[in-house]
Amino acid sequence: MIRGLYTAAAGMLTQESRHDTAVQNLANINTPGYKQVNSVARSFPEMLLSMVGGASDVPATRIGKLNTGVFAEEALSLYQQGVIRESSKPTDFALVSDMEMTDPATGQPIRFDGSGKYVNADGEVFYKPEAFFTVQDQNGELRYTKDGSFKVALDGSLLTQEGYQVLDSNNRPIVLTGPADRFKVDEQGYVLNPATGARGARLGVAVVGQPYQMVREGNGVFRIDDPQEAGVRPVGGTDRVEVRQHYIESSNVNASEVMVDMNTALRAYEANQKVIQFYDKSLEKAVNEVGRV
Amino acid sequence: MNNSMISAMVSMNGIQRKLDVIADNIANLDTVGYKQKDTTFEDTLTSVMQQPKDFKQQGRFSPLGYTTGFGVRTGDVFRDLSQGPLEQTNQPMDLAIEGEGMFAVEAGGRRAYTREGAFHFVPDPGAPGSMVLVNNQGYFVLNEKNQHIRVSDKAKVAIDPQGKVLVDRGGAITTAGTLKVLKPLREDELQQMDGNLFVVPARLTENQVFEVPAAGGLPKDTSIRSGYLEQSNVDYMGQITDMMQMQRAYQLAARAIASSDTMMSLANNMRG
Repeated sequence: MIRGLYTAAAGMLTQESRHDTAVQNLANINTPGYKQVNSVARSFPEMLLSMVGGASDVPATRIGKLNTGVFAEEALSLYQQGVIRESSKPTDFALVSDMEMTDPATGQPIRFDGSGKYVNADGEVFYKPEAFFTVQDQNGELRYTKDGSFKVALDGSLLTQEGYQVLDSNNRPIVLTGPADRFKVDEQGYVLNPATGARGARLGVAVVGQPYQMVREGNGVFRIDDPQEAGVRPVGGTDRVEVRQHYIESSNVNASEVMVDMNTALRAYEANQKVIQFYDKSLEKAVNEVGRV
Repeated sequence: MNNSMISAMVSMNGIQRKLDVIADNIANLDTVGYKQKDTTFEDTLTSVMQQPKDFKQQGRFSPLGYTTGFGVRTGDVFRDLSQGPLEQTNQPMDLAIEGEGMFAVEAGGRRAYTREGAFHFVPDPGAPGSMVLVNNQGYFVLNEKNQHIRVSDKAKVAIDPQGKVLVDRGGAITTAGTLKVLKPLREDELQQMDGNLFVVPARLTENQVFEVPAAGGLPKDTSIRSGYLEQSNVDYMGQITDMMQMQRAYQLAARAIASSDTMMSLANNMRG
């Protein structure tokens, strides 16, 4: 009996986390480059219940498996492309990427599902690679972002809204020499010379093979703790990645879906609370009525 | 649930700031030379709840840790310096800048910059018999040598497309300098003052914020239109749709607060 009380309490905590995630998504409905987060829950490890006691000639009977709770395990970002919107600023950039992969077993192009994942017949999991701008935070650490609403500092360096330095393909800062309206970048990310049109430095765009390995840091950026495992590499010639100047990628949050998520979490929280109350009523009976003489 | 409430509250603050910016733009729909402002959103710093090594289970996609954000906030306010439509006024001292640049004026001992070219001549009390060019707040308009534009009050004055001040005193046409028009290089550094004016912050110099003209005169591809005023470049439709979007986002955040409030009440009333 007490076991179920704790299970319901764990359910309440999990729904709380789900609610927090839904609210965070709702809040970022207008944040450029924001990726919707989905909260994933996992049940506690299962245990095997057996009947003990009773008549000595009856062998111990297995009742079955039971798990005694649930917890919010991970917050996964959904890397689906957001809507590309036109903007008036020359320092606004959108990354349009639709990477392709072929299944090594069949040689066929992979059709990823909505969350950018594919499991083949052998149970092998493939992830859809995603492209990110590379930036550098105040501590000199590499960070990755989809939010291309950049600004220009006094010395001409290109910064994110938070003030992180935007890097080129050699991890050197991008610095504008003239005014922002003379800053031209082509679709492959090369900065063009305003007078001659010749290609200069290239905006640093990284392709992340396993985007789920990225850790959200806030301020629009992601961190990668293990670049090897995440499969980070610079963008190549055959990658289907495009840099679009004068455009911005909107948030990919689906408002109605998130609203439903929020209400579901609230009601599931309520249901768990009710279960706790029912347990409490049973306990009350055990304490006050069963023991009465 | 407290987390939900905090993040909804933070977001409402952020959305409110964006609404303020929109309101400012709509209020200045008819302000001569006004440039619309905008701001973008950014998610706030995310906290990572640490998880022990045992949480690395089969079927898990992401590295250890559970991340939660705390809402959204606005970034810097920036200006859209695109050209506004020109309106004919037939006043020769109404000047509109076509292309990029800003007029320099002397506002109470301090140099300020503006796109609003509604200028006129007033008699100069310091030098009888002459008049001086001022803007509609009475601030002196400057020429390329940072001097006031002072001419005889009997002369006829015109401004040519290159910004030259042409003075006609009974047939003989002379020039009295060129209007000082500078193209902003780092417009985000400009500080807004009241009266549609911008100033260079004290820590910076004019040359850091504006492009230095090579040989004096106007910036490249820029000309002055006399007899016209530049209207506000506020895109009314865009502002209204933005406002609607923001109101809905605000509403959603308010709903999130109501929802977390319900959750708190559920927790409080667990024991009937």
